[in-house]
Amino acid sequence: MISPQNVLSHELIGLDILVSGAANPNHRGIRGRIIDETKNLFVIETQRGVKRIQKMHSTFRVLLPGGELVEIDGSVMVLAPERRINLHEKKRIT
Amino acid sequence: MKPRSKKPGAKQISRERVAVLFREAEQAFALHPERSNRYVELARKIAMRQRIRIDREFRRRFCHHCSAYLVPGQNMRVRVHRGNVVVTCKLCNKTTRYRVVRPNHV
Repeated sequence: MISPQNVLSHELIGLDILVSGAANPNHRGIRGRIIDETKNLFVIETQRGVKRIQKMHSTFRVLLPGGELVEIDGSVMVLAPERRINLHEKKRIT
Repeated sequence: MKPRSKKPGAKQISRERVAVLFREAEQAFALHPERSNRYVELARKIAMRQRIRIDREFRRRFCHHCSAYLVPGQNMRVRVHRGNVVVTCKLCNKTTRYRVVRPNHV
């Protein structure tokens, strides 16, 4: 199952997410549910509509089903969702 | 053959991801069927890249031609014809046939 150790390789669609840091100040604080993912973007469904947030230069806080809150650096996961599985261990930033 | 994935446990994670995506596809279907189709597409991409089979419980729940998530009576037609289950996808109008009678029993 998804855990803080394998969150970078695991499925993020359906999880709750908060944009905790972003190069664009308007993106900070956006929270909602991940509904899609591309190489460069997360698509987040918020109460104020569907937002597309770039991964590069952003940090995200993801709530895992087990209740853990994990902070992830979007810059290390600029990869298509099906390629993220092989993301190398040493790239991880907690 | 040399394994393409060097990371141990990658196939296990892939199986879990495929299961998560099909669960999300099922939940999203009523309100956002286009999201369901996208989730199936992602699940198939993951399975193909990691060379895992999609589990039996999910294998017949999407169109093998256009990757649409299929729900009986909503966007698929299921008919039995000469020992085959014939599934028609109403999005791409293509059919998939599944054998239900063993060939030597016909």
